[in-house]
Amino acid sequence: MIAAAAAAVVSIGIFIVALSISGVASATGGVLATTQATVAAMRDASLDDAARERAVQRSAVKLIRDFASIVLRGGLSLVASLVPIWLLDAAGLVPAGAVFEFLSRPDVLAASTILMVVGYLAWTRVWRAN
Amino acid sequence: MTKILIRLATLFALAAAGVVLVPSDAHAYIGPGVGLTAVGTLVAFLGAVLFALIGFIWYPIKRLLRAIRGRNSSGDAEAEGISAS
Repeated sequence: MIAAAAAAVVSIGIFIVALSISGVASATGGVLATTQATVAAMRDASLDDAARERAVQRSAVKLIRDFASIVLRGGLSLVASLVPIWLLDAAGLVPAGAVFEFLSRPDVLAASTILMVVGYLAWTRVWRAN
Repeated sequence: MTKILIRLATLFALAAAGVVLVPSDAHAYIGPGVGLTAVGTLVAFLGAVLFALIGFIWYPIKRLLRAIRGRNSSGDAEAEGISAS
């Protein structure tokens, strides 16, 4: 039980670090900004249809690239978080099933979600501001 | 307004407590990390499809229709010029 909990904490920690390194949050923000800018360009009365067409086409290509990029980044973060669980299982130290069972408990999910949200808010509003 | 918010918060807290106290595993959970990834991919995919349809299909069709209309109206003007002379 304690070994499974420790493996779960390591896995969650690696997932958080991998997510922040891969920049999924900034990539998602970029997608939202691109979408808003494109809609604004389509509604801009000072632009002619040719300029609007070029802007929309550029955004479509950029969003396809961003889609692939976010899928790749998120997938790699997920795989990175699974690596310690697989390694511990392969070494015969902690069965992977026990770790997944621990990670699926509602109290663990609630606690890890709250910790992650609070940690993110603290990171963005307090540490980065200083 | 404040009373409604307090009631909603109480309801949410009770529901959250109920979920946490239920002794069964969650098999359909999306956390903040995966949720952020899911939102990003969903918006990017839908935006890419929509803007591709508009940029690569709708605007060229619009341009084509305008060109056809312009040619027809200039053709009519030429025909009227010939008949007037």
